[in-house]
Amino acid sequence: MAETNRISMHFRPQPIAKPRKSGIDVLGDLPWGSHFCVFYETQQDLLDVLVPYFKAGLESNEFNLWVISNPYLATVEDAVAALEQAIPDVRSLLEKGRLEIFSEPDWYLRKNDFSLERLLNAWNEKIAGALARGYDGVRASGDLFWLDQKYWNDFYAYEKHLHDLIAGQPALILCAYPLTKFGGAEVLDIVHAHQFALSRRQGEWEFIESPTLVHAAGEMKKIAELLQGKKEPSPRLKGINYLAAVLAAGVALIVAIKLVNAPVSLFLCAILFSAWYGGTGPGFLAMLLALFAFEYYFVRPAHVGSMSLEDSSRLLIFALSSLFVVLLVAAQTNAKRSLRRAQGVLALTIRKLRETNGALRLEIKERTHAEAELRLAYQRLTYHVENTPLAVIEFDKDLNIKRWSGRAQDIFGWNAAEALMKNVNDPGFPIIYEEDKKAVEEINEELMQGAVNRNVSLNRNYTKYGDVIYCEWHNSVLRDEQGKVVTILSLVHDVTERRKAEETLNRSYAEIRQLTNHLQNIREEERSHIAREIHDELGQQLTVLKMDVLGLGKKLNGMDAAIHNKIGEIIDLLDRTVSSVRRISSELRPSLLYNLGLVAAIEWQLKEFEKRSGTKTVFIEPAEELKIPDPVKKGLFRIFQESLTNAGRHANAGKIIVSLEQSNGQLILTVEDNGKGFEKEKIGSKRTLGILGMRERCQMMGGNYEIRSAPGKGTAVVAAVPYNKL
Amino acid sequence: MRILIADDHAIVRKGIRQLLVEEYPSARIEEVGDSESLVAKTNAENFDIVICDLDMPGRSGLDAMQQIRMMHPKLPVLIMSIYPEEQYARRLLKAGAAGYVSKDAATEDLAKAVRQVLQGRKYISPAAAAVIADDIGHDGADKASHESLSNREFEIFKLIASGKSVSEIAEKLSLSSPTISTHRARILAKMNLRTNAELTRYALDNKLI
Repeated sequence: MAETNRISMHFRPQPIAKPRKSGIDVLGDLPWGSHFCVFYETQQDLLDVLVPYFKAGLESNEFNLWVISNPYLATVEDAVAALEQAIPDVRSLLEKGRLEIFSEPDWYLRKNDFSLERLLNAWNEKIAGALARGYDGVRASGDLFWLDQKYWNDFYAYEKHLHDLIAGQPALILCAYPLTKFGGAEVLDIVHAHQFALSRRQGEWEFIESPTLVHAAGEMKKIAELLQGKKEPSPRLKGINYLAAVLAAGVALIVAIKLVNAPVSLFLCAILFSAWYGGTGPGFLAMLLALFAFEYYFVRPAHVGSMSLEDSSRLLIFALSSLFVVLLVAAQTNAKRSLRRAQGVLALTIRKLRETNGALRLEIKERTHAEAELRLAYQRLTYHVENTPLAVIEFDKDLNIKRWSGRAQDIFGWNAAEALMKNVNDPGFPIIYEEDKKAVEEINEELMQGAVNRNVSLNRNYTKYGDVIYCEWHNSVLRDEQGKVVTILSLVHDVTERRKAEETLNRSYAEIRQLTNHLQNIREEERSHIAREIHDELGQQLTVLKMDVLGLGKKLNGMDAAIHNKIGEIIDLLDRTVSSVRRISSELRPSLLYNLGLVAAIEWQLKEFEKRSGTKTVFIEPAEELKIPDPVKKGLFRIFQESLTNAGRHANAGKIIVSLEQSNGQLILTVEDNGKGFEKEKIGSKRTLGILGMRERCQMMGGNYEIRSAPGKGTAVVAAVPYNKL
Repeated sequence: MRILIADDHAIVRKGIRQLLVEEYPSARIEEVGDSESLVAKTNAENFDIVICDLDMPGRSGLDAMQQIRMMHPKLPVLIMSIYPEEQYARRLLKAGAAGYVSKDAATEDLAKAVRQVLQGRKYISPAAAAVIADDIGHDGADKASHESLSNREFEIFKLIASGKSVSEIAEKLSLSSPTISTHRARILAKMNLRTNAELTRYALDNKLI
């Protein structure tokens, strides 16, 4: 009800005429000349205002006029039906002409043409007609649902004219605007074109008024007080008036003494002047002075008691006529003075109103402009928010969702209605992947604590349908002047595809590595198999053959020397064949490696290498005996072989140092030469493949491979693989 | 006399048996075809000598030999293989073999080797003995001076000598373990040393630590 009080304070009219019942509870009484508007959203809102409004009008001696508009009340019959519940005899009142209902084309838009002049004339006629038929005034309402953008400017002008037209007229006009049809700027204009506005939104009352309007109402009140003459003329002015009266009487006395013939008319003149100039008071003063002078000078000797009857009656006649003159002249003067004062006040009023009006216009213009700018900025932002491939999500300081863009719905599946005001930790709204929750909390904490103003988090999220997606969250935080967090703004990029591609790629690499590994194993197995075949079948058979031949030689002792020579040749050939078989077999499968271990195999291979190439080799053996699993043994030996072959083939080295040692869970093999070295970028693809092969072997064992070289600085190969002492 | 022959090839076993029979006609000779049976057999029965092929499927002959040495320290094991003895002889003797015979030379040397081993002595061929002697001579060669080391190498030398591991040194010098490993290999090669222990001894002898 506080709202109602505000209205009555600012808009309750001056008691020019008896206030009218508005019928609308929150408004109470209204003065004639009220032009106000109501914003409505639904038909019910509209009827809640209009039905009691007309009911009040029909119950008092007023003529009622209602202009309806689509679609809420499409026909006159609809309107009558709507009124009938509250006013049962509405149909008879309609017949009697107490109420007229027009549909919008019959009132505002005749032949689809909006004519300001026609409408203003129509109102004038209606008001004049109503008064002529003995009504107190007109109560009207018009629905502006029909109002289109193209009529807007004309209509706005009309509303302002109407405002002026009904000021001081016995009329109440209530304009009903559908809130849904008008934007911010229009609403502002509408409010300014009316004395006040009220809005009925879903059953709730709201008052709309502008500061200028409030100011104008205050001015009006002051002016009204002035008009009622509550302000007295100043005492100084009063003194001057009385002084003038004394002077006038004195002048009249002096003149009368000089011109004895016409004292009465002279004194009358003085009284007349005093009354005219100073009003009733000074008039009476002049009259008393005149009476005194009259008696003193002209009824000598001045003894009232002994005054002759003739003199007494003359005096009485003079007194009465003076009194009459004073009253008459003073009354007229007062009336004139009031009129003049009223005119002054009126001019002031007009000036102030004009100023107010100018201020209002400026205010409207500024607000319209600002509103347009704001709308444009908002539109721009909205477009960005909705067009960006990133989801735009805003949280308040408690991590409740305040904004949820269309793209956010695309990514997460939840629509805005479902997501808004949800907390990120709401169990009914799971969006953070369980395992990533802690990391996300840390990221949020970082923002909240003010350590940073923006950060990025890559984490997994759930969609509405429970799918797991990878998202990149670009967060920034907005703070108020005290540095408190107001909003966290997040741009979310769905990187699931990228992550999947990465995972696929990694998987492919792993698969390729496994395949390489597998192929290498197959090759080793095949080699091993062939080596065994050669060694077992050929080697053993040759050995036995040699034993047999030797045995045969022993048995043939003392025989032909030629035969002995032949046997010797056969044995030589067998020896050479055996050593070929052994060499081939051991190249295919270094049985030494399996039988005596990596250290022995490296040592043997280095000696063979030294023998073949003449390059000096040094082997730094591990201090203790190592038990190395077969795959590692094999892998390291192949890396060693490859490095040694490279050194022999390319390095032109004078010395090769090989070391094998065990240290802190690692087995480290180094092969270093003092040869010519190379630039990594300039080595042939075949050798690159060799290096790649070694690196792969190393990685399969879970180790690291490193090759260091520079021209003139030799080459060092280091392979370090995990190793646990057995 | 009881002799056990272990070889995965029947034909080789047959050849060896013939050679032995010629030498020891009265000997009881038994045969097994892999390491597992070899170990089982020596556990179950008593033999005077085991002649074992090094390269057998499954566990190697060396493994079997070491196990036999643990269970029956007095049972001599003579190792044979088709590889020349200089590759193996030293290591096998170190690992506890009673002797080593290359299959090449078996016809000539086996009988001699068996006889020598049965007498409680070790056997190696003259060629292998020469190689081993060479190695020893090599080991005994003049050590180079630590003065040939670079500053960085000498720094690492001292750290190794004081018993620091490669990874500890790497951490201390902010270098990778592989780098330290290469340095260590180079230092040892330069100074003609074989192990960290030798290096430490050198450092102590020369009062470097």
